[in-house]
Amino acid sequence: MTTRRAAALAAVVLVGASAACGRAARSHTIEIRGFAYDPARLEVAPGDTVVWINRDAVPHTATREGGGWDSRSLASQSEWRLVVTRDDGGPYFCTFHPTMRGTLVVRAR
Amino acid sequence: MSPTMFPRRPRRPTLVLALLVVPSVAALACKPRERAAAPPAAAGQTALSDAQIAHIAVTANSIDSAMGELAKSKARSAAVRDFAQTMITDHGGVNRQAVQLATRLNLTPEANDVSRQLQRGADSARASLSSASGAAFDRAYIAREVEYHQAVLDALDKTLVPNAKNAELKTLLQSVRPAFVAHLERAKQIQSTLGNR
Repeated sequence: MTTRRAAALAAVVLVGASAACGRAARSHTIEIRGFAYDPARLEVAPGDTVVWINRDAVPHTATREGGGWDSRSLASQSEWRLVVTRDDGGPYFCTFHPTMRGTLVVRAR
Repeated sequence: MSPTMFPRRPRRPTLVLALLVVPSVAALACKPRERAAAPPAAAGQTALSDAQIAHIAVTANSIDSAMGELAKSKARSAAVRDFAQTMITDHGGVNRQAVQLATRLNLTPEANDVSRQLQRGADSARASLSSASGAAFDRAYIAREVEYHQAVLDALDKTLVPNAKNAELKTLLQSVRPAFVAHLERAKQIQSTLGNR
């Protein structure tokens, strides 16, 4: 019985901690297709993971304006992931095709 | 303007489309002065077959990739050199896709009046660019890229996509369109920074 009580207590504590921190970290996908980021604007929370997948036949990048993070050259069908911190938001673009633009919005949960 | 070039009462709309559009496709690698003097590229050209369209697509990509190689070695501006490298990479990538598709479809690209004239125009433009240097080269190369990509877009929309019969070929042609749009926009951006003289 003591063991069961301890397990139940642990579960309650875990659920409570999870609720206190908001929902669990999520994974988001941005597809690069037709020389565009899809979705072009994505709202995420710190701790979330964003995965860029290049579906085009040519290389692209996802590069934050003003520095901070940069996928560097992403070959066709390859992917790059970023675990987001609160300072990672803002516009980004493809250094090879600067007319391609996206925005990452970071909001605390 | 001869009646042969623009028949008043055409028998087939497709033929008229080819006559009106194909000359602009074929002349798109020429300088404006040369283009004005160029003969109508493919007068008498009938509707294009898939094999011919594939050859035009591969030729158009190869031309711009080769022109990128020239610009990479001659351009003064870093932005122009970067653009040239992107042309080499992207048009090479698109061509690999086109060749893979042609192989899978057992489609042998067939040389035709349009692709031959494209190549002649490119040779002429290359000779002209080869004699330029420094900032004048940058301006001439980027001006040609603006014109070239606009002309290819027109050709895709008005001739190549509408005439493609195989669904996969049509899809490929449609899928490369955003590349030409992005290249055109970037070339215009760079052009605006280079000035006129």
